Amino acid sequence: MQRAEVALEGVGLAYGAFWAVRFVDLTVRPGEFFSILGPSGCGKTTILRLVSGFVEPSEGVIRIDGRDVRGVGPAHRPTALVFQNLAQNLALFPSMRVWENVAFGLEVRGVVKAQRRRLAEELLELVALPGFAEKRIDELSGGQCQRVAIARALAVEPKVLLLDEPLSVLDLELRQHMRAELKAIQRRTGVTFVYITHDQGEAFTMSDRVAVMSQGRIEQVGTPTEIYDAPATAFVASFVGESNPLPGRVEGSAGGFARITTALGPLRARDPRGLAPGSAAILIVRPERCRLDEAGEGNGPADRLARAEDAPVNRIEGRLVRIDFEGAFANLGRSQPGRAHLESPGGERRPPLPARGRGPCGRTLPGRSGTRTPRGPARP
Amino acid sequence: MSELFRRFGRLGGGLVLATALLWALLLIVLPQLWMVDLSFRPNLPVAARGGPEDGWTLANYAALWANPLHRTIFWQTIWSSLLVTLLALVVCYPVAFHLAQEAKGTQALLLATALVIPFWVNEILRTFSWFLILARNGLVNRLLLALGLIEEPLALGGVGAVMIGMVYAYVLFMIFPLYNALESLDRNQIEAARDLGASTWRIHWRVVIPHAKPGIAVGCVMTFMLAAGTFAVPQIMQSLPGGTNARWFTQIIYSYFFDGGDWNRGSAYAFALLLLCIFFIMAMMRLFRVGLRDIAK
Repeated sequence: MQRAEVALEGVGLAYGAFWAVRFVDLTVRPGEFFSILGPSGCGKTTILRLVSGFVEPSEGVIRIDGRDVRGVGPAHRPTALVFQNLAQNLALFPSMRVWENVAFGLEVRGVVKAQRRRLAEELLELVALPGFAEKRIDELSGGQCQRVAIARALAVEPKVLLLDEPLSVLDLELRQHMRAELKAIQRRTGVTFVYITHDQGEAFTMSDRVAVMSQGRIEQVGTPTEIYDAPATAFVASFVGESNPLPGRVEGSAGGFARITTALGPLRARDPRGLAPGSAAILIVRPERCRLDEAGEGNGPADRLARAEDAPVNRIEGRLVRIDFEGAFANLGRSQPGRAHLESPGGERRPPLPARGRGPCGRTLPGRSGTRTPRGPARP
Repeated sequence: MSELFRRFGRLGGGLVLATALLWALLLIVLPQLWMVDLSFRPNLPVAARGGPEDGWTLANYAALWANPLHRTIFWQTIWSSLLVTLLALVVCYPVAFHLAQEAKGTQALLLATALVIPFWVNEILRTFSWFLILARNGLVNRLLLALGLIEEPLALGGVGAVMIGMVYAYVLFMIFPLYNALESLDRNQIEAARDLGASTWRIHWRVVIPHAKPGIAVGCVMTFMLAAGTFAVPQIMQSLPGGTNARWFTQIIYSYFFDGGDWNRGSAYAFALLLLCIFFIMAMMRLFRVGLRDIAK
């Protein structure tokens, strides 16, 4: 099948005085699995409706394969939409059999019935639903509906498949299974996927690149690792993954690291942007970068690990007052100063959690985990 | 039922139930049975009833079949009612669809109000407004005269005028079932069909109408029953110039009961109409593949 590039140039959509999205610049490469990640109401579905042609932008240009698609209706764009999993049926047509659903786009295009049926069965094979052709929609499970919806969208041979949170209602196990399935379908077909989600796990596991959105603006576009390890704005840092934000002031910067004064004292952190001394900044610490040590000299396991990785070590002393065990993470409440709540990593390498209130404890933050981001939302 | 007993106790629940049953028996079942009985007996003077001449007979039904005028009016009533139903469906479907799927907020409210307000006026007056529009010196004739399109006022009465009056009188009974059915249609289904390239016509034919089938069936049954059983609308519209040929079967039934004093013949005619209407309901349900349960909703 063909694939296409989707480009949004300065796209905005206004409802009266309210801009649902604005200043959106995006290029989705041909054959890419591209996700748009953001909290509900951030405008990500609006972008999908703009690309599919259900709404026209108030400003800016949308290009599909280099062609400005303004004025081209949804029926005539080389896109197909997989609807949100509302009420489990994904806008499948309940009055039609599974194969008729899949073949509806072909019926519209005047393909004769025998060929429609054959193509529908091929597509059902592709989405791992062989033998489901004659079933009724209400006989399908959530995951099966999902696949029928994708097959129906693929039937019209779109160059771009737009998926609007299609997995959001499925239970966890099925959702993880469908992630792998979706990714496999995308590889098999080579169609450009634009995937909308508020679930970073979905976005990260499936996508080649991710755009993070907030309040109608694109905050950052990058690969999942870029987004996670080098968030461009404070919003991205806090929205993606667990994090401990530590606001402070930059003291000085050298060799890609900055010294920053926070409520927890002076800390050293990575400084990819080379911030000027004196500027306000937020230091972000991922919980899995924290190690828990006994109080005292810097010779605990975390210190040795940090030395081995040749990174500056940040060390915070405090008294442990609370532990909230969360599985992968534990939230540790810490007494003076600042009462910051740091998160300690769980998993294989975690040291045993100390009992609550038992003696002082230190926490080392290997410096390479700290990422400084400019305070406040950065706008391009 | 068990809910009823749980709430009011055995005695209270029993009383409520008995009242309802008595109501149905006295006011619906018995009079109907009595009418059916009447329809199979000859029309005799009071003194001769129960005498040797009394007995079961099909003569009253045979009379309907034998009388060409009555037979014609009977079929014409059925046919016109079907047309009224079809017309009402054609008129109401776009309105109901717009109201259920497209109109928003204030616009929807205004439209719904505009539809309901005429129904605060009773059926006689509503029909009479159409009488005034189509009368010899009515709106249509005056307009045509003023435009110089005609020299003499036209006689606008007839079956068509009766049907127009009925469509107007019964639109709401078609719109509301349709609206109910269309309102529950997921908008995403329409958009999905559109996204897949379907034309408006195909979206309606393949997605919207299949979804609205129970509503269409209910609307059609209601409109047809009202049209076939109406008395007031043809009575009024007949007074239009040229309207005398537009007789409705209900008027014949009426005249047997209240002018001719032949209740037996009247009953037979009424029962024949009822049978045909029941047949129509069954046919509609079969056609739209809906069950009694859907209609009751």
